[in-house]
Amino acid sequence: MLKRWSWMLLVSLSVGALVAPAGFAQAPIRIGVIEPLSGPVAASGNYVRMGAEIARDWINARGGVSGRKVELVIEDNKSDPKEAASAAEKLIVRDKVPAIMGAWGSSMTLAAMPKLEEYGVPMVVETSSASTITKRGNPWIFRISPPSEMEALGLEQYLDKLAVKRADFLAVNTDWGRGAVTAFGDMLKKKGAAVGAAEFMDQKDTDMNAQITKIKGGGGDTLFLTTAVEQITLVLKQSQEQRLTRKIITTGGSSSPSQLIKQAGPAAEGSYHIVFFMPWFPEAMPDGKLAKAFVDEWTKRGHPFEGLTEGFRGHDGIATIAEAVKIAGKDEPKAIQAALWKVSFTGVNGPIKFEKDGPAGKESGQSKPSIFVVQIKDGKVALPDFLAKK
Amino acid sequence: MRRTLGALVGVALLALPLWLTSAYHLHVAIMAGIFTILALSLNLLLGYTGQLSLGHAAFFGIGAYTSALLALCLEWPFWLGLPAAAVAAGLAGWAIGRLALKVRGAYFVLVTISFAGVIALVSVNWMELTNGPLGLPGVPAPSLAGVSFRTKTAYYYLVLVGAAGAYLLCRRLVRSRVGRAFLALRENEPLAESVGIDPTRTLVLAAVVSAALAGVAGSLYAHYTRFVSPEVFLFNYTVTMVIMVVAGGKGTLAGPVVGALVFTVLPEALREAVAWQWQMLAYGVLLVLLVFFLPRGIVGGGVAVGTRDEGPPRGLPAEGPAQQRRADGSPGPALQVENLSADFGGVAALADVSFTVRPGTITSLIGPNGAGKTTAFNAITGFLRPRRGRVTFGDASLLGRRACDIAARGVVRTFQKTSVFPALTVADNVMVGLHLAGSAGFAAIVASRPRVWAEESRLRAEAADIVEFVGLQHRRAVTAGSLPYGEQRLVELAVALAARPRLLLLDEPGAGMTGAEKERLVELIRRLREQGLTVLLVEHDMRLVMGISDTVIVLNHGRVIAEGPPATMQAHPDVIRAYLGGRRA
Amino acid sequence: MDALLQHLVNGLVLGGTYALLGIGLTLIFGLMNLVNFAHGELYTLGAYATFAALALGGLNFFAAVALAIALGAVVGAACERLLLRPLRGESIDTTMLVMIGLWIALQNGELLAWGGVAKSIPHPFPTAPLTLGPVGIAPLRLFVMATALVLIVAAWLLIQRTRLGRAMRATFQDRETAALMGVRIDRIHTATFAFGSALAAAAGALLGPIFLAYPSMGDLASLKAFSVVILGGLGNLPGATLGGLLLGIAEELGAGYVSSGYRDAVGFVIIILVLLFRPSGLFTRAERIG
Repeated sequence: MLKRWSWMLLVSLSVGALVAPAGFAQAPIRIGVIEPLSGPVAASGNYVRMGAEIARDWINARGGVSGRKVELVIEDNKSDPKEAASAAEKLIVRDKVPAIMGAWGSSMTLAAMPKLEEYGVPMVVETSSASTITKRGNPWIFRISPPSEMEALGLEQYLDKLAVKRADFLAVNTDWGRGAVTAFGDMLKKKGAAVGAAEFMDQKDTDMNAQITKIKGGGGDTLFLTTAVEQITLVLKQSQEQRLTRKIITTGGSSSPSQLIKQAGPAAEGSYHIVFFMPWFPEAMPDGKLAKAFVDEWTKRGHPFEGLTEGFRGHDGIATIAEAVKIAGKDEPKAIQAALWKVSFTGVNGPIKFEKDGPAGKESGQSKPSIFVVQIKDGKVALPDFLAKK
Repeated sequence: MRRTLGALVGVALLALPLWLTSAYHLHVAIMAGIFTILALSLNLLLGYTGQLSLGHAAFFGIGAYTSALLALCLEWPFWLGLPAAAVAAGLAGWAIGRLALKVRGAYFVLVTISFAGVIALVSVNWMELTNGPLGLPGVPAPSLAGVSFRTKTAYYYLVLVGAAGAYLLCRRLVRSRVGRAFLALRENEPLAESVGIDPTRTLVLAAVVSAALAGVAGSLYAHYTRFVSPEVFLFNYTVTMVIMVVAGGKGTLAGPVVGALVFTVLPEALREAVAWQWQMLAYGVLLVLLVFFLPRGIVGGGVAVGTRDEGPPRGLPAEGPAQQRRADGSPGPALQVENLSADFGGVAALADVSFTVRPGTITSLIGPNGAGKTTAFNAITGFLRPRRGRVTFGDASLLGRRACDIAARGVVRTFQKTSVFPALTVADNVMVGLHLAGSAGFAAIVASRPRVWAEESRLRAEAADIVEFVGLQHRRAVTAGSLPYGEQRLVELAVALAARPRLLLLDEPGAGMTGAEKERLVELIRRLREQGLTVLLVEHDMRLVMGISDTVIVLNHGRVIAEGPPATMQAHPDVIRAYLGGRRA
Repeated sequence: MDALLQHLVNGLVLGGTYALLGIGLTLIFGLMNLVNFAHGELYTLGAYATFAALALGGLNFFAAVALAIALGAVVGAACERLLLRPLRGESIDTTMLVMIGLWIALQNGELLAWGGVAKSIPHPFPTAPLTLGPVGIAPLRLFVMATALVLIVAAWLLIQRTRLGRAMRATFQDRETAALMGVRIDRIHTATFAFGSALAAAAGALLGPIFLAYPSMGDLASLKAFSVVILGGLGNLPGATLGGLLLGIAEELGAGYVSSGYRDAVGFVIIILVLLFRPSGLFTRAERIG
């Protein structure tokens, strides 16, 4: 008898929580945020969230958007595309957000995209790098992060100075890693450099010695490394143990050089990193004052310094949406979508303005973010010798 | 009462989109429906056959990818893609079944995990086929005669039909001869084999059906989310399915459905109710609590095998099961054992054992403990492979055949340790024994052909006869595991009789019985002989043996030391020495 | 040739770590017939405990590792006593489900407590690799291998040579008889689970400094541990050791010479093959069925 009641209770509680009406979103402007807040990349997702919260607080401190406060509705996509789609559904239908920022990983973003089209709600993509995202003909997508091809183009100008003659790749076996290998490989070949081996590692792997040994035997002079900062740390350490002596260039912007210095120590010495934000010398960013203020605020809140290289994305994403709401004059999805095309301002990374990308008539928006290269020298992050400024 | 409840539920489900106004809720309902199909499929393996498959996400994913790829690359319509997905997943299930079902228990678990792991890696690495980690976006929504199923309401009804179909299929299967075979294998595999159930074939069937259903769920998922990526193979999906089945109540039909509903709604409810930091932690804690308070699952409490209650058994005179009577009264074939030898490590359990069991007689095999009696039984009925020897039944050789095949030839044995299907009722125990007497196959059962139900009635009547023959008619609806010991042995006998033996091997049938029970047993065995049945029995009760046997064979240390009529054996010096020990000369 | 040697050395070192993961689980899975999905979480706990002891407690490295192992034993004992004992009679699926719930709760608890950023665990060994001819190996890894070996031998001695070990083996072969002989069954269950958990925590404490500590580190570790257990045969300690080494080398060679993408598939395929052809494990004598 007790058993029956227990399960009935459980079911009714669940259904009740679900059916209970959500709060009405009238006065504040609610912006949805979908990030991986648990699971293997929880750190990154949380950094983006922290950056978004700074943007929200700054906007509200300045009086909000057209006098209305900004509110973030944060959902966890658990690094699972199914959850990303569910989160989008909930945000749009239950919370009635007029715009979303998300969803970090490319698969998560791709999974949420049909919902955007179904309901007609725009999403600002702050991290995902797969080129298909803006090429699928989804006019509700606006991306401020660079696809791998753009990143490769950003590096192209330094290829001679870096003296890359023959490069190998070691990438995480996801859309991001594979995309980077393809994009950078194509760019290298175009510039006449040779491409050696392309090795992969599973997102959860901790031992890359096999791949390193293989690469070592290949005889290249550069290793392109694309993965999350934890795996980069491990690769650097294990490369040092195997005495792999060659240039290492990390791509993707998530390499968090400060964290590498802390955790890989001397193994990180001499490595190059493609980043989209330089918190070590914020004055060198396109809007130096804004960048410095962001770094100061982040530090003031006690967030780890290493997170800045990803946290800024959250700020720029929210700032972009707020700017669009201001231009549109109302927080209505279609109006925000139209307004996003008119957005032109400078975020922490640099100028944000969307160009058309994808099939005609259904273009997505793609901004051209600034791309930087830094190097770890003497245990500190510095601009590489051949660079005067950006 | 049950019917009206079912009807109410049905109406509520049909009308759901009308009173669930939010599209988000419909979304949750659709996901719950897809997971219901998944949970039902896993329940077939986990709940009914008792094999814990932790690779089920592989079948789900194969179904999803097949359907998506066919739609995207070959532009097949959904209505072809869905069955194709079921076939592809079913094939994978067949492969896994054939390979993995050589092992049981924990090993089977690990093979399924590994299989899923390999498939996941293939989906990530085989870029040409699956587009690797980038996944397959843009899977089209199904459409029928120009009407697209893109809207949530339409898709809800599609999924509802799918879930209802899956439920119906499982229900029919579980309440049939095949379903009983599943349960029998779960409850007591050797006993099931001894009445002719082929474990490999049955379990593979379960694996194939289970996998195909999971593939259907995968196809529905792919065309709903319209994006398939290798994450469908994530172990998390399998874990979720397992949670739904076990916490819902495995081995029942309602359990997985309730489990799927609760555990689809729960994470979404947590999303609502709890800040994101605490969601997963709360989920884990709730799960632990649930298992604690409801260890058998929400819809707990054992196995309700769908036994359609046919009412009280017809009162037939207890003459004995009909099939035992031979039309011409002639006895069956003789059992010939020659030079049978078997070892365990260095010990010779049987050494050159030869004897004959003449048809229509009761032969007893006696000897001190460790003499090799049960070993001989095992060797004859295919539960042990002897080192050498010949065993023939009539003109058919039994050696080297599988136990279920030997049973099919009419050689049925009981076990030394009481062996029943504990969770099934007495009547159902006997129905399992009647497995080979039925012929309803998977297709007929699912289509619910009339001849299937006619056969069920016939078998049920026969089972009633047998139950009455052994004198347990007052216990026919009691679960066998809860019966007192002596009655369980009678159930054993009933099950063996149901398998229509021509030669019945009874291993210590009287062990642990009271005097009165033994008298009853002797009476039963005598009657069986009258029907023309040949009986070979192992016993320790000398009064019983000498009272009933036509021939007595004495084993000691794996050898036959004497063979002949009871009176001669009682006076035989070797026999006496074997039992009582010799005087040192 | 150089590359091959390096691969083999890599494989041995990797395999040693797998062996350490496996021996704790083979006791729990093999003796208690418990599909322990939370095993990886004890591994994670060991790593974080070491980190905490070093960073917050200021202990020296070896003391921190010892503390982590002790903590693993305590937490294991608590889990057994509170969660498993009340469910003792239930089926293997029910206990497995409880372990799954524990796995989710522990991992997300760790995420909440420590955040998602990986923690680097400092250690006193020099980072420059030792060179033996053409191959390089880090001193820390040598230490880990040596300690792992010591722990494995100690575990084996405990199981084979002590009264406790004998009682454990007896309990899991035939509980009723062991109870009749005066063995305290409840204590044996707790002791076994605690022991296996302590070994998992030891693996985490030793491997944490090599690999970094983060909340989901236990997932892959669990999976590898299960592979090793199957390879070696349930409950077979030397088998698990050899199995771990074998898995490590096979993965290394597979990743090095076949394809790095399919690296983890090597382990899976090996499991499938072993289970099909030698279900009792590669290193146990094949039993006859029947």
